[in-house]
Amino acid sequence: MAEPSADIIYRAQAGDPEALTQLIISQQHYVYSIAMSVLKNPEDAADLAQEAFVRLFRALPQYNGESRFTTWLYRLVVNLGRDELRRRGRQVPVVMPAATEDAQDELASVADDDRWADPALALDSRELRDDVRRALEQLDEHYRLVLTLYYFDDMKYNDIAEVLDIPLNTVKSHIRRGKERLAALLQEQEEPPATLEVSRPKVVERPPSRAANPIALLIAPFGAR
Amino acid sequence: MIDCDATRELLELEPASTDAALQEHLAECKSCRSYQKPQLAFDTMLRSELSWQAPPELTARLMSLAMAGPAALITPPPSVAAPVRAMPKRWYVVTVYLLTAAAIGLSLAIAWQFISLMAAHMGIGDALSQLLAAPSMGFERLLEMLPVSSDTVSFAMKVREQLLWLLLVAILWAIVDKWNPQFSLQREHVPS
Repeated sequence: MAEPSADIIYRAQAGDPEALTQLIISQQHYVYSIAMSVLKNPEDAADLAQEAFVRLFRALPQYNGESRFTTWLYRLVVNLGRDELRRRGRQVPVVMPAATEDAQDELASVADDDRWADPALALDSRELRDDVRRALEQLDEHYRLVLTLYYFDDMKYNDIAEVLDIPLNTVKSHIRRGKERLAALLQEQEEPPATLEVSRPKVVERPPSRAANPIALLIAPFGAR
Repeated sequence: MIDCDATRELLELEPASTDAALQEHLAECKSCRSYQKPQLAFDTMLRSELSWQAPPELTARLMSLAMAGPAALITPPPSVAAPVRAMPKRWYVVTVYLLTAAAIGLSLAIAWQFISLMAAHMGIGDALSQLLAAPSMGFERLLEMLPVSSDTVSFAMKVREQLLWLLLVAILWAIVDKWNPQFSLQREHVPS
């Protein structure tokens, strides 16, 4: 997430096509990622990204440098995405309820999955990538959005809080719970519902195995360790 | 130095954190190093999967926007964008003025008759006649003092009433014109 220089912003505000082009080149990837995170559809995301840049160009003269340019831009994109979801009749909750005990037990049952033992191998696994993709599609939009912003380079918690207009602690809890929820979704993909029902009691009875398998610790609630 | 619980809490949020205290703990704790590995793998995978490259078609669309410049995107403000209200045609304006003048003239004539009747009834007819005769008397004095002005004065006396009515209409016209600029002949043509 490269913050544009003051010179580029100034020239873009004056309508310099070259500066505008540089803004697009440096930001389109992030704007499109936010749009994809919210809308989950490439065509809709492209339309949203284009609309975001149109709004950006129109609003550029009003940018006064009070906040980071990227924060200002991403907030614009997020608001546009939320407006679009509202227009489609979907609710956009910002604060989520705490994870339930049941969900945490389900997270613990992922302990048998050792595919995460090696980062390089995990990245190379097409099957695992597909699983993660499916899980991300099912992940609640606010978790997906906060995680998307979190993985932007140089994006600080404060910036995310400003973009999403939520408290700093909520950002951190969303990141943590988003990961936990993803792990739970991955576990659900591994096991069909019937299997999950049978295996759940076993999970509760095996706290010692967590220490032996790091993936259990990855997703286990901190207080349970 | 932080303990295992604090270390793992930090790793859950930022597995690749370079925090000094965290690194110090990891250097000495094999269990936490093992804990870090899947966290890193999970994090790396999410970073990769939550990042989408903008499609070339979108880039092309955005570039055309940049080349067009912000001016092409700016829609005129509502006050300018709103269609200009159609101005009335000249014949309509002239008709309205004539009808207005006729109505005013008729009203004045009626008022004059009414006032005359009232003046006669209240016994102020003589005073009013004197007042109306004052200009004539003034002209007679002027003739006596300046005989060469006789032609001019006699002409003015003949057209006095017509001139007074004309003056009244001109004043009313000016008032109406200022009160309702829509009907102004001068403002009929709006610059584009």
